[in-house]
Amino acid sequence: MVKLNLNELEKLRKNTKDECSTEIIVSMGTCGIAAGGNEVYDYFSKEIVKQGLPDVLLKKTGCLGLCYIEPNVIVKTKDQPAILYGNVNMETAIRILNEHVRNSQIVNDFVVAMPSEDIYCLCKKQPEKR
Amino acid sequence: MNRYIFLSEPGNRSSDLFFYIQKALAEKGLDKKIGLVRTQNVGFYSSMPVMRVIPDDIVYKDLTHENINRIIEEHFIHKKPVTQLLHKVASPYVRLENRNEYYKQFRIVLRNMGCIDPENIRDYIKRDGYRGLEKILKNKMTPDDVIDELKISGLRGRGGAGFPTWKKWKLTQEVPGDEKYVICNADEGDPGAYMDRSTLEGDPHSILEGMTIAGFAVGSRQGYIYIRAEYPLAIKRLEIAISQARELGLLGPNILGTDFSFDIELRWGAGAFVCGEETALIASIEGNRGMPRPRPPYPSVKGLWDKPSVINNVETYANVPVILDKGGSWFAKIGTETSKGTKVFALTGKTKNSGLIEVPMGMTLREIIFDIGGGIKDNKKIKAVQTGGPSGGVIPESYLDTPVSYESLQKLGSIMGSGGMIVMDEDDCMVDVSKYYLQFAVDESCGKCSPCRIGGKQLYDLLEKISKGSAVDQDLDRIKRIGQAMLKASLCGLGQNTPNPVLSTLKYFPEEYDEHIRMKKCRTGKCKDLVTYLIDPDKCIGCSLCALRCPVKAITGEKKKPYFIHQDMCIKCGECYNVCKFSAVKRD
Repeated sequence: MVKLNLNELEKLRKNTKDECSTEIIVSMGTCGIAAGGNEVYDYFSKEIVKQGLPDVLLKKTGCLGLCYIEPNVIVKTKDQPAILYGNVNMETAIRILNEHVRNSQIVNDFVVAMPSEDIYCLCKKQPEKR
Repeated sequence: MNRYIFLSEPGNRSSDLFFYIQKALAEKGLDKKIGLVRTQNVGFYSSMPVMRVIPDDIVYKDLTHENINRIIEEHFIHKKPVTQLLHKVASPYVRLENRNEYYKQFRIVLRNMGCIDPENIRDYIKRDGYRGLEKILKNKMTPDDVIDELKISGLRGRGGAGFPTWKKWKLTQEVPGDEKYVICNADEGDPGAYMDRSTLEGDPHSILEGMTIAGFAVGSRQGYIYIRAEYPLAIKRLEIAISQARELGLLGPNILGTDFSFDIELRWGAGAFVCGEETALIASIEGNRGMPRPRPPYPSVKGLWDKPSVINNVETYANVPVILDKGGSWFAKIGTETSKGTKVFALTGKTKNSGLIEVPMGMTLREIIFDIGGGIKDNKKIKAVQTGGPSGGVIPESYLDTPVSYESLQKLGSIMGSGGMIVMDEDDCMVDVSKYYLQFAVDESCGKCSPCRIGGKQLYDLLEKISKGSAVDQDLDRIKRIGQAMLKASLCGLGQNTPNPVLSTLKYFPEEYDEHIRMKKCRTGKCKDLVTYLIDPDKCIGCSLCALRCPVKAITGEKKKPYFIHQDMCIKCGECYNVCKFSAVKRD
């Protein structure tokens, strides 16, 4: 990467676009990993390759603060609000991939409400029309 | 689908409310347009069930059938929210316009948790990362401008003591000379506290940016992060973050093409609690044994290698970029008169939802424990909450309506501390809790000054006597006297605050100490020497459950006849007491 100057930073900020229409974000702080987040992450990464899902971006993130329901997984799709799942084991991960990621069907029993508002971009991926 | 309803119900989720809403939506022909989702809620415990409508992002309470019909009619068909049923919970301590009023928590330090990949600098930049630094350099702000902005914000040190951050920076800035250091104290060691670890693991760049801004303000070119070696993941992510920031020219020589240069290195701590004390930390970075020295001179004037050094903790630095980006006056709209901004707490212990939370200063402990934490596990009664780890104190249930701020917690004999918050219920013995913290402080005392080295051990021995039932009334006076001496004469914060847990429990729970000393009883059964478990032959039906559960096989008997506990073998674990369905096991 080339070193940025004062004007290029803002450009980089604006030009960094989401490359994929769907994101799977796994909470992988120490707490998430201890609760099994690693296995869930590995499962998603394998399946994305195996099932050929180039439009799905798999990401790690830090602790969301919801340590009592780790591992946590967030799924953002194009026309649905960001959905946060708690207590995701392998079984739930399989359902999330097959029902939510592939077919836009929210896996009802494992959804958790987001704990706080976001001072920067409150779930930017929500549909905008009212 | 253009709208979603997130329904949160208490307890088991098989109530008919979900199906009622589903049916009502279908009757109006809205079931294709409005998605219904069941969620576990975070933050509305006292008023469940509630429903959140997305993307409008508003929350309704009082969900009777009648009200649901009304919400569907007015909100979903006529697009007018039902104002009478709105459930606004926002704290009055956030005085910002356009803020969402449906959340208890307000996240500044944890702003990027769950949104960014900590190992990818672009994610951080995209969410306005490095914009605080960019603003400073672009607008040609002077170091004084930066310090003024911090002064307006009212940010105080989040490590526990609450010294105004701008003042600390100013002191260092005013010392002449160009060799100065910026140090981040990431030596988090309080039992039950992990705010800093999570911040470093989830958003390492916010610390790097905060430190770089500090470097600019005080005129330093070099920063150090002193981090515990026990945090391997945080170290790994910090190393990745530092190398990515260097690659993009956000760290190193000539940052963003300007003539400001600043770089950061990691220094690993070897796990001594006392190294969280600033002078001991500096000694440790220098390669010496981690021991505190008397202050003044303060590190701001004479710190690392005798050069002026700014030391702040992780959470303080994480606040800095936001203050520079959004402005000091924006930040000052959050919190109380004297304590501005938010505080991150690691909420642990007997609370239902343990985890990391961030709330505006001024929120009461009760709101934190019951609304965010969801109350106490197994519907037990809360007894107290401990803040500030081994240096803090215990706050009893009757003071839970105290707002969280540096002053209010200090007034109660506890401290804000770095943010550990341990909730205790009726099963916790206050003597036992104090003993635990004292044991920790005694183990971690560096031994340099005698009040801490000897006083801590004496206090521990006295508590040991109390928990064994061999103490006398005068021992309580001794505890108070030794405690006062340590408070006054210890060299550093570790020794000065070691008596806090025992002094505060003694203040708020004198009857428990009294029971231990005079009646030789421990009501919770935690002090094992004061407890005997007996089986009441009249109540025991001989089901053998206790005998099966007993880990040392101390219970014998014949089925359908009363069982018997052999006292010489009993280890007093209380397993039989908990497991008996007929209340036949007695704790005496």
